[in-house]
Amino acid sequence: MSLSADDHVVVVGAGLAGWTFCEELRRREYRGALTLVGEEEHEPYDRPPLSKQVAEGKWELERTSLVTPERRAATEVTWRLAERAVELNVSGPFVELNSGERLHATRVVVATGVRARQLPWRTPETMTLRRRDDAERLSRALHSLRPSDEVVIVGAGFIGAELATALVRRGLHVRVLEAAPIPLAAQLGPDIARAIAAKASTAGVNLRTGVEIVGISSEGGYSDVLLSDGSEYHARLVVAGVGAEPALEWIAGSGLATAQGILVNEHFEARARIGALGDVARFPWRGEPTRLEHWQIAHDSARTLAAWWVNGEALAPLVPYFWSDQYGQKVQVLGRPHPEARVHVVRGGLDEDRFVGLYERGGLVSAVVGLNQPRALMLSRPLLVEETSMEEAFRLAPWEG
Amino acid sequence: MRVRVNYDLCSSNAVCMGIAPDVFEVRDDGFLYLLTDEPGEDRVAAVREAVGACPNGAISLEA
Repeated sequence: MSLSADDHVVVVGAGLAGWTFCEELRRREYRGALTLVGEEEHEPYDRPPLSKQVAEGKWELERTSLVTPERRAATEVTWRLAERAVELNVSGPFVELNSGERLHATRVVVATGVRARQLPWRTPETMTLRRRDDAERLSRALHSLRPSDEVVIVGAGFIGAELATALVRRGLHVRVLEAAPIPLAAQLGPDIARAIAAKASTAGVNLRTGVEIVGISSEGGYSDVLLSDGSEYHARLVVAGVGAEPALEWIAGSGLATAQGILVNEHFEARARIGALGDVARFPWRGEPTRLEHWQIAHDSARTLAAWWVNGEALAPLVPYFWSDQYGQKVQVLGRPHPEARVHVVRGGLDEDRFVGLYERGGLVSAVVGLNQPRALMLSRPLLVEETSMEEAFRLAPWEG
Repeated sequence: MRVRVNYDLCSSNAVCMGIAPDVFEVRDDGFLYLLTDEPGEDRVAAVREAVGACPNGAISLEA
């Protein structure tokens, strides 16, 4: 079942997952045909800097490119950029493009990622930040701001908090409006989330939580954001960071997709000859189907499927990881934090500038969170590679190393 | 095989250390230290994994 020179692999989605997969196939000396379809006109680029270095004005957009001349030379692919896949036929298999052309394949990989959720109100001043074109539009809008202008960010999730931090560093007035009483509580649980949100003010970010937006209207180049308590914000720019959803309409007819993503096995196969990577994949993590929109999942899922398809090699199960640079803090999480899990702080304290916490679920360590503690966090990674009881974790105390 | 770190790109996420702690060490000062810049052949696979897994693309390998 390993790939041979007679195969044709079609990869749909030219983000980190799709591109890394192509690179890994060639690095493992797959010599067959390889086609990479991407809806955007841009070659694959890295998204995390868009809300960090690029938003702060420290990096030009070109610097986010994942395709250097060396990497391009090492990875021979047939590029189909600025083309959108509209159908996946799993029995063919083939992928149909919006032009009507069918790409017949022996294997297909779905890596179409997620798209930013939009606010119900659209004005000329509202936007989201997900793609390179969004970042370019944001950059242009920022250059037209006057010093007195305020930027309103809707949502204090990861994108909202990172963007707010970056814009404050540019010297802009930033107001963040969050619906939940505690931002990120649904992801990290209330205690850790509260400790992180408490850093907003020290970073110069005006954060208002527990607010409900009832309308956004536009006039004279400004948007007025109206809250249910009657307060109103006059913004030259409104950026929504209100989550994302899998971009899977194009495979609706394939029987593979659900609203929760594409169910895959430990090799990231949805069926024989069909793979799904990155943000769209629901992979087994400790027995539970898990879909995570993390950079590292995109990367590691691509490595995992490539190793399996080219060499029949099963890589070690990935350990979920993400990081966020927000409010001047480095937040890092390994594993899967459940919001209702009990958190044991094992280093530092929640009211301090640094801490490490263990999430306990079913008597096991289910996640480790760190604030400004990269060393202690990564030393704790073995607690998640193998299932580890809380008792054993405290005995080993790897974070002390 | 030589390991190189571009310290302008490194932001001490310590992902490399999670993969190959015998080669990469982020210390309590928050900086990354290379414990060896010429790891043995048996560590090539792990170092290559760390090169790819670095979210900042800060690590490279030279023959």
